[in-house]
Amino acid sequence: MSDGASRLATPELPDATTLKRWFVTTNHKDVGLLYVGTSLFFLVFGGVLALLVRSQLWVSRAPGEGLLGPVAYNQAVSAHGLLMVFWFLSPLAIGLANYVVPLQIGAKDLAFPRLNALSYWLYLFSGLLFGVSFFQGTSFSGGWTMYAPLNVPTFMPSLGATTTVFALILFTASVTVGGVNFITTIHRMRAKGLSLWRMPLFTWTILLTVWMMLFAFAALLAALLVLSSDRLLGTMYFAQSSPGGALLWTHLFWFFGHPEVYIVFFPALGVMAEVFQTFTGRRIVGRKWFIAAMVLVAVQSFFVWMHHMFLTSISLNVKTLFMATTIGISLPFDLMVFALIYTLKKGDIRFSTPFLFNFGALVLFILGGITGVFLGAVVLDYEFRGTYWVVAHFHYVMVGGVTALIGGIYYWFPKFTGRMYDEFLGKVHFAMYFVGFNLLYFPMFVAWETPRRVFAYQSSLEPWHQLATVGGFLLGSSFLVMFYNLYRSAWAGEEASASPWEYASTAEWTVSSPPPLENYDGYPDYTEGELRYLDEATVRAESTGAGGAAAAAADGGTLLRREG
Amino acid sequence: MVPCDTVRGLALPLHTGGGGLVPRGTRVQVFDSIFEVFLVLGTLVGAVVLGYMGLKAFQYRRGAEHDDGDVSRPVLGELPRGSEGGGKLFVSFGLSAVVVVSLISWTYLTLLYVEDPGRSAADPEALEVEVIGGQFSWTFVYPNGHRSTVLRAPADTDVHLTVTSRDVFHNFGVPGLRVKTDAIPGQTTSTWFVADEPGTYAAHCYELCGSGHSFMDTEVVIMEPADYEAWYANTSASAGPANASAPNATVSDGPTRLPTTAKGVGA
Ligand SMILES: [Cu+2]
Ligand SMILES: [Cu+2]
Repeated sequence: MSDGASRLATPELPDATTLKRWFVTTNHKDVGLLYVGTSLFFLVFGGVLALLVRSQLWVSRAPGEGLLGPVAYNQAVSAHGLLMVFWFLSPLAIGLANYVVPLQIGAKDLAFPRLNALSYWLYLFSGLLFGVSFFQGTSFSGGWTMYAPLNVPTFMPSLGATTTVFALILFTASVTVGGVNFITTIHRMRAKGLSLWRMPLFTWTILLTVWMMLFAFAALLAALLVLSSDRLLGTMYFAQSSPGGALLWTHLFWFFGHPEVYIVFFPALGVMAEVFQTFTGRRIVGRKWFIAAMVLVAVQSFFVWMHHMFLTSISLNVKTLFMATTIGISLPFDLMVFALIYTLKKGDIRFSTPFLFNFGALVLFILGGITGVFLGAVVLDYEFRGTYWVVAHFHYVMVGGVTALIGGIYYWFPKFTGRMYDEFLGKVHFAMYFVGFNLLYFPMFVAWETPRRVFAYQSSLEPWHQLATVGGFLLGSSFLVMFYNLYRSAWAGEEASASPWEYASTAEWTVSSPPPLENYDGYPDYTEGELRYLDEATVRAESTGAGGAAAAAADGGTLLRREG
Repeated sequence: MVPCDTVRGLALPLHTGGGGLVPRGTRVQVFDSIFEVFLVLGTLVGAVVLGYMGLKAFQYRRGAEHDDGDVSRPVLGELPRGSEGGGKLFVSFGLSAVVVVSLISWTYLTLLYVEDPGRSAADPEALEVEVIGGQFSWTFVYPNGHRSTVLRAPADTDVHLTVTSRDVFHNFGVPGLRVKTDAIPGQTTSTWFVADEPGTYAAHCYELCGSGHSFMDTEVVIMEPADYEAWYANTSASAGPANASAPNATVSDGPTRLPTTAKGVGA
């Protein structure tokens, strides 16, 4: 190893089989795995709560009947939403990004490895703090949207609710620290010759995600700080006596909340793009327009929030404006969907587990998108407001995104562990998952007249809710297959080469599986139009202008496809 | 484009007519006709897109017979780039944009109608009722000051609701009449409905409002106009279940009244 590289090196780390390693590590790949593992823990946490909710909904209940009392039910619904959106979905994406983005752009690590570790530990502790709230009277019970003034102590006096707000603030800190880190890394640490336009699509989606996070979570933080002040210092910003308090909350929350939908969904889109290209053996159609569409959505996402407020006291003019921006933001997604579909053409498609999950994700997203157009028609939205149509629609979109990310776990699993997962069990997981998903969420469209967050509903809708509950348990148990498969394969799976997928093209597949601690033992460089690794001397020669690129290739260029 | 035949076909049975393209009538009729068009078109678009996608995935699976001699495949370590085929992308995109934009514009005309049916001033018979949400029941205040926890209203009459809350954020909705609006403390929202026939409809709360949210239900009893008049004549201002201020329950607004005024009523 050359001098330059060792100066950049992370200090010696304990072996990966020791527990200590995982407490002291700042390496992006370790932190990535910690993120993925922890997010899966919160998936189970939020998932068990969802199954409790589905059990309560097996039949329409009178107060006090069933597994959950009314307050327990409200807590389960609220915590399920908060845990899944904040502590599972984004962190799973950030975990994959932590591992993959530096490898894709040719960086040895993120720009600030210690900050990266900090953002992970803040994330973990914020989630544990949320868990603690269940032991402090009651946890937060006002839904994941946390509407005012139900969220102030007058109506929700428990300490646990305050703890939940703190947990969210801590989580926001984690997201901000992490976001700054990714923004710096992606803008400043790309390999030579890898311009922004040329970045792999997964990295593109992460870049846009973290930019959106920076602005959206600022609004959430503001709302949470004001709420904390109301809860602890006795201020009255969101109190019932404050004439604009309830509306103020909805504005702040949805200014965050709508971009959050894309913050959650974009990484999934990035995984879809990568997996589609690899498993169809086709580069994506209309790549430039795909990227342009995403940039457009990222900007526009901050101008649609009031479509969540069509039935509040906002004026018709404002409704019209936000209806227009909402339709506007749906159109770039059409383009992205068509780009993915046309990529199938002339492909050499292999239906391996990662592709099955991502193909399935696109199907689910299309269904979610079509049912979303219904909500864009304000007259229909008026009636869908607060019903299971909304519940079904956003689960198709959000859990559709999860589907792609799960595919991403399978896709990069050989890179993470150096071993292959079991393909048969992967397909079993997909079959159970896809059937369970549709059995769970599709009946909700049929039973859409059910009001949200209630467990007493029209008894004629009971069969549909029972189907959904069965689907929920099937979907939940499909993850047992995944956990078993991944756990076994990580130790006993077939050994994977550096690039186990035919047609994979991005840089993470050019290094061994798993990659060495510092990713590359040369300097990644794209100036010749394709990736090569330069040694120290060549880089120095090139930077002083001595020698030409041709000489560099001859002297210092390292062959690609090195076996790991 | 919106298939105008379908739309007209659906609009024909509406009792107030209106030329056909923009559905009119009661909120139930408006909702049903739009929902049906969306369902039909949505299913159609979904079937075409998913069908095409499935077909291509099947045709181009590995091992199937297809000619891919001239197709270039991604190579490890290449600079990321795209495939050709952008033209078709734009045709499909343009088509979907036309469908979505024309659908939404069409429903926008309906929104204008729903927001201002143009009858509020013309119809002196219209009934004005104030609705006040509170954990976990609804209070209805009539023009004469009478308060009740069940909403009674005559059939075939415009009923205008002014809705607010005396504690947390609720949402008042009557699915059978397709009427719904937020009940926000410190704010008022307005909406309207017309019921074709006498009967009893369920009303629910559609915004999580606390432990009793699942059961914050009541009834809307639609009566024959004559029966209603008889019932109403026997009511009088009463100290009902709610003692929130009831600011001028008989709102008289001009003909271009938009039922979306945001006035703080204090509290
Ligand atoms: Cu939104
Ligand atoms: Cu409620």
